Amino acid sequence: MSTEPVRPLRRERRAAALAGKRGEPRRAVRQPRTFGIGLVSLGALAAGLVVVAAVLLLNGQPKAVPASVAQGAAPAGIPTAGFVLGNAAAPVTIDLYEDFQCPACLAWGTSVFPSLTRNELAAGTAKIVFHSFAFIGQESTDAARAGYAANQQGRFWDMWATLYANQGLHENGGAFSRARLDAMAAGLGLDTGRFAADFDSAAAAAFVSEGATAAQAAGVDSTPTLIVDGVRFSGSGYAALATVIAAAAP
Amino acid sequence: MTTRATGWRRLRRIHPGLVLATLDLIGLAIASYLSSVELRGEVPNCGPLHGCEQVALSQYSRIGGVPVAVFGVGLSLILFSLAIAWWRTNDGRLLAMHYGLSLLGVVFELYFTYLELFVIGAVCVWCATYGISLVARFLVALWVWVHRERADLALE
Repeated sequence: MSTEPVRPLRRERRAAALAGKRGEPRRAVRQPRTFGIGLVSLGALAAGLVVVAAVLLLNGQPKAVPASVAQGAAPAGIPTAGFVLGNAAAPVTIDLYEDFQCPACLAWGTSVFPSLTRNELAAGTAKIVFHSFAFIGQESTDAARAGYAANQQGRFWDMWATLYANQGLHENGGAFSRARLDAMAAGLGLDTGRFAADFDSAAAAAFVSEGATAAQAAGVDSTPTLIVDGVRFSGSGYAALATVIAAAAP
Repeated sequence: MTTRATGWRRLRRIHPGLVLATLDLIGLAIASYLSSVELRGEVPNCGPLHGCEQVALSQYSRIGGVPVAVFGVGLSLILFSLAIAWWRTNDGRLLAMHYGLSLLGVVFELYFTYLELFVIGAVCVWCATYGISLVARFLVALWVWVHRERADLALE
């Protein structure tokens, strides 16, 4: 172990030399104090931990998938025909590509869809044609199968609303388990035996895989994707969509 | 070599308070964008990088009903004011406050990053960029404080 004193920093040597030139008495250069920064660091760390603890208390623990399923319903007063929502003769067609596990699709369904329904769909200016693009995981596939099976009983849009009402916090986290999908079908009053048979059918599997293939062929790479009369809608929010629909309408 | 040395000298002449203020403005811009989007009930656009939607729609994106990004706006505004005030007055206490608050923010960012990676299972690139700006602010404030303290002691 060396017994040599610690060599002062260059600035410290320069300051000491300057003091010597001025004839000031030379003082020993102390090592930098660190208690100030240490104290502030400790205080900030403690405050940070208090903030995190407060957030944990306010937000609670991560929520598990609820035991019961929520019920959704197609918008009242809007005609439905299979995967089409709105007047089949409406001049503007909105092709909607979705994955039931996609959080942005849920956000679109709660922010834009209600206004679109109240205005353009209710007025018969536009109609929505749903396309499945299940790509997030197994529960996306199962939810799409549930949509297909509900459609076989003429209730696709009720199932559409119900699936989004039950979207989980985590993808593939059990929100669309088979038991919960069956419970959703029962809650909608569907023939559960028929629902189960349609869910497990080869046609349901084909609906999902062909939907994904068709979406990719149409250039869809994310959800929700809206194609208004053949032109991909790249804006966001209801106002921008309403403008595009108004421009497309004859 | 001469150009590089001159450039470095010029760079060192910039008051670190302005560097901190610039980083604070970057953080403020990101937090303001996220706040405006979330307060409108929409989700931020991540472009080809997915994850922002999932993070924004998770229960962790709000504290007591207020979007986390709003707190980020508040923190960045305070930090920006402190950086400017320090630049104008050279009062070391303002630097200490900037350092302490940015460290507090870094602690929260660590917690939020843990949530993104291990609980939500998605990473929001906007949040990550804000976090990086916060770490940069903390490191700059730490570096300046340590060097100032040494220089002040040498000049005693």
